[in-house]
Amino acid sequence: MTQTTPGHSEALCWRGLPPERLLRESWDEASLVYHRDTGETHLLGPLADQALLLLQEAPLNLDQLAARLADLCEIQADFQWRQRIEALVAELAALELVEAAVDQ
Amino acid sequence: MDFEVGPFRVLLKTRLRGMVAVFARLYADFPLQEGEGIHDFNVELIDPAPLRRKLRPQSHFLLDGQAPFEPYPQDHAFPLFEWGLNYAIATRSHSWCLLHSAVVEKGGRALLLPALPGSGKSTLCAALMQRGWRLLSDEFGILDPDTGLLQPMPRPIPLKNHSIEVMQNFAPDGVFGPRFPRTRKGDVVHLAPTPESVARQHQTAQPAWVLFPRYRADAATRITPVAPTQAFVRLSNNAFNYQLGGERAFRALATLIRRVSCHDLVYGDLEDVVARIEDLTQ
Repeated sequence: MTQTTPGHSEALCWRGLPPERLLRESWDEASLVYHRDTGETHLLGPLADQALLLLQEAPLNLDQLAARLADLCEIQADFQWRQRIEALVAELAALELVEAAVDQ
Repeated sequence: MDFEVGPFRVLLKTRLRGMVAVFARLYADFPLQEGEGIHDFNVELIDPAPLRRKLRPQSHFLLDGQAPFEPYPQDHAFPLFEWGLNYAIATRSHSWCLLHSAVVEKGGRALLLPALPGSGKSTLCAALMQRGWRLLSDEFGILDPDTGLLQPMPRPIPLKNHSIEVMQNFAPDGVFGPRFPRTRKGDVVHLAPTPESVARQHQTAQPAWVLFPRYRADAATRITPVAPTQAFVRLSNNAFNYQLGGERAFRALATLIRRVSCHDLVYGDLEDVVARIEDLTQ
């Protein structure tokens, strides 16, 4: 059975929807993403946008994603940060912008 | 009456007393069409129950023979026609991206005034028109998704309640229609589009500015930048057919947002706000 809830498994990886399924328009402050399958438009803040871009490059588990984003933001990837990223991935999954991937 | 308003050809049939006279005054500059042709909207305004005419005369709006609304009092036939035509355009014209916005133009560049509750867009749009801006529309930002240009559709501007006296004082030379008291939107008086607006009703304009107006009594004019993505969200949420437009609407709106500067505008004084808008758009 596929796990879709972030955090159920440390090894569970997430991947972003392929770029060809989305239209993206980016500005300095945020990006707008049009989901070709759902017909919905989403406003993504910089962190969510960066998370989606990373997960489109390659599947990552939460620890890997939290670490990559922490590096980009030049902050410490502590427990609170990981929780924040977990919540962010859950939101992106609810919007069908990311999905559970096969374990690396 | 067979006439063009912007990209639409309208056939209006009515025998209602009073309606023809009001139409003749407020649509005086629109050339009537002759001969065969395809009409986008076939509209009739009729009395649905002639036998009760003497008791409580009514007017019914028919679009292609169907009545989408309940009847109105007959002396409100003109506002009913205007709202009915808006309904027809909003529900049928999906080859365009229909933004809920007033649009005026100067020097080929268009200013959008999107409608949000309490925005006072009609009053502001009317004031700009009376000070030399060309009216594209009081209600619809008709965006061509292929060209990114805005299509005019100048029609009488419905002024409501307090803004009636405000505009009559601001622009006493304007062509105003009769007062329609106690409509479903309060008292309404229409202001005819300027002759230039009608004469150029087929000339598109390039979007250049978006101002989100908000009227506040006695407020000093204040103009503050709005982030492009926020402007996109506001415009798309308030558009008539953004969801129906899919990818095409997303691309069209994104292109528009990249071409314009976006601001919030709080105003309480028409003379002052018109002058500030002139400064902003120089």
